[in-house]
Amino acid sequence: MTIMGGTIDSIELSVQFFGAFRAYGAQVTVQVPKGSHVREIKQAIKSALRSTYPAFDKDVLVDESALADESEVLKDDSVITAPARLAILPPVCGG
Amino acid sequence: MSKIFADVSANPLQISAACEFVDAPGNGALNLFVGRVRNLNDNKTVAGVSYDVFAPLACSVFRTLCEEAQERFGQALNCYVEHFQGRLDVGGISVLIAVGSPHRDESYLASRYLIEQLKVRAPVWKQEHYLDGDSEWIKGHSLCRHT
Repeated sequence: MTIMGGTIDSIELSVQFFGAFRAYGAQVTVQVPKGSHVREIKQAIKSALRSTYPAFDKDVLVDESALADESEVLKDDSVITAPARLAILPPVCGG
Repeated sequence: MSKIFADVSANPLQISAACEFVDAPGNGALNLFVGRVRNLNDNKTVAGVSYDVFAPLACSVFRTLCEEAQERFGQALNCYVEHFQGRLDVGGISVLIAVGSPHRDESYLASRYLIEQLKVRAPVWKQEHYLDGDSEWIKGHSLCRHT
């Protein structure tokens, strides 16, 4: 990946889908610069979904959703520095 | 020694298992909450509900909630939280919360705490299926952690 004439590392993230995102499959894989924040990963997810589904219009749902791994929900300012398996969690309503 | 059971299951939830788990000779109270699928929501006739769950994180959240309940209401509490994953018809059991305790007050308080927190913190989603054939994911509570 080239940015401003230089080369930086990128990492691959697989992101599992739940709830309303199930309409778009089980998961999506995105490439993001190493050190990306949660909000940047969400943008990459939007782009990936729009690439596969040109009519994708659930940007607000992505914005309202959290990213998590199997042990915790990530804070908005969390930084991802290594390949990972994450999940995007739309607003919850169990019980 | 208090006990915690926190799980997600694709099999029918068993009330007897919850009650047996939280029982103890020193307990004078056993409080049981049973969440079930109802047949009406927002004036739409419901035929069933599908529950989607991020199971590893959900189990972790359930355990954390139980530990919080013990800290708030008594270390002697035995807590059982189990959520169903999959499709249920009307009347099906979606969640079981059981609390065993020496006295009734803390069991009521802990049970209410567990279900209210589960609804806003656990990674669980429900898709209602209506008699007219339509389906809809129910809007919920955002888990975003702003800093």
